[in-house]
Amino acid sequence: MHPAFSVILFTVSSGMGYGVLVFSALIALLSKESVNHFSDALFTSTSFGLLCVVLGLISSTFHLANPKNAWRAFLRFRSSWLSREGVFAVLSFPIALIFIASFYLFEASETLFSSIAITLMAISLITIYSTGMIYACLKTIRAWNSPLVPCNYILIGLLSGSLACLSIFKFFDQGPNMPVEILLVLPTLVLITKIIYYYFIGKPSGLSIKTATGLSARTVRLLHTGESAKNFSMREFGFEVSAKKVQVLRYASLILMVVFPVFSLLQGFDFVTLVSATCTCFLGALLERWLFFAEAKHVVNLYYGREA
Amino acid sequence: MRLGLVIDLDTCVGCHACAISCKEWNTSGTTGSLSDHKPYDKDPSGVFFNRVRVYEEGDYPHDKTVNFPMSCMQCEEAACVTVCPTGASYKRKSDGIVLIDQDKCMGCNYCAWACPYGSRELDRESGTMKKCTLCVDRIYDESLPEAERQPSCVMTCPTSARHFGDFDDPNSNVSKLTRERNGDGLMSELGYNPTNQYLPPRLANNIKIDKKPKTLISQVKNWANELISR
Repeated sequence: MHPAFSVILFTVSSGMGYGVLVFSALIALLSKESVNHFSDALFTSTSFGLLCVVLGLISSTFHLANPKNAWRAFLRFRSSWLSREGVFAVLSFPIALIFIASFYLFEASETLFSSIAITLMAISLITIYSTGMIYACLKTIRAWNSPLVPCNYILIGLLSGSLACLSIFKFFDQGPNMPVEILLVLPTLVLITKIIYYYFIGKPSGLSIKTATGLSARTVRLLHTGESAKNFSMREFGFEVSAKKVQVLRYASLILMVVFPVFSLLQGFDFVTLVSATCTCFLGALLERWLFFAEAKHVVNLYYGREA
Repeated sequence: MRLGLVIDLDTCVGCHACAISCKEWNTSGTTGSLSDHKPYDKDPSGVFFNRVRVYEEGDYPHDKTVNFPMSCMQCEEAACVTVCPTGASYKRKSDGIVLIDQDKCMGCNYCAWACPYGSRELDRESGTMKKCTLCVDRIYDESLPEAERQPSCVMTCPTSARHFGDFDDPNSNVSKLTRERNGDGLMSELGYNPTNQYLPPRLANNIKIDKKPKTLISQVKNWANELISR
């Protein structure tokens, strides 16, 4: 699949934004009484999360060839995951704003505050899940058609979000002290699921030019595509990347996204370390998402004599 | 009604006439125009509803060239319609034709990702997705003589490798052909249940060439020829 930068930035940025929202709500939920002590940090982190989501959504519109009809994308909630993602993303805004108001503008009762925080966490997780399902529901792309995809989207969103959220809390020097061990759980989960995913897509698909054309009795080879230049399908689905480049980028993405943040957190837990860990994690996630597209092979490639 | 095409892989000669007549008809049809991008440049591209690829089946000398035209299969379980977020893509209940409302499409390419046949193409000029309409603007046109109320590709095919009809009617030409020639839909493992059916190439025996009987005089001639060539 052609890796479009607008879509890569959309999934990574909004994933991180929702990760920040989840952790902001979680921190608020765990220390309900003392929320007043770190309301500035909580306000900044929630706003930052929303900003990431907005940037992601704006970036996604650059992928549209006819953006004037983008408002219609909310209309097929009952069948399309893309539509669901849009609806949940828009729904999360009022909830996040109510969340901010409940500790910043007026003091909400404890039960109301925790129910708002739980709702925010839920809608954030549901939105990242929907983003993953946009890709996971496509039967035509085997590398995507797996529950591992939404799982990866959620875990990477939570990882980058947790780092960003803690950086903000560290900057204000407010909030509860998080034990470093908790921060090691998410990178480990990301690493494990990503390795499982790479094994999953490494298996031979069993599809071939024979199954695609139905001429299954004898060998089939492409003689001519019938085109003198690349057509839409070849440009959109015919992206190829060398195995060596894939190998290098896989290591690079995992080192940037998982290994570097973990090691820097083990060294020290100050603001600069957290910010650098957040930045490398974001870069690593961008690389990971680029590979997610570049390595995925659409079945239409079979008709052009390539693998799928 | 479940309208669709039967494509005979045995008789298709790969002349691309269906692809060209399709472009000609549909560029001024309901979802027209089918714009071209840099048509006279080094890297030309443009929207086509129908494309023909050429395959070789088997190994020489027992091989056969198979010309393979592909357009929208008008799937029963059309994933392109399911994934469309705007509702621009829809499948008509009355005849099963999958169409795109050009006024609603936002050009996100998502339906093209869901289609296993590569039959949806983005028009760069309008920014919308386009696809085979099964010539809805021909097949119901009562100003045309009844024999001409068929898709443009079917009308133009010089070898009658393309047939149009209703698959719900067991006695229609397309149902009969599919039954008699073991027609099948492409990539049925995905479960999209494509309406269009492909008739497999017939297994033909290789033409035997008898060896010339060797006479005494021809043997002497051969011997003399070999002697001289040495």
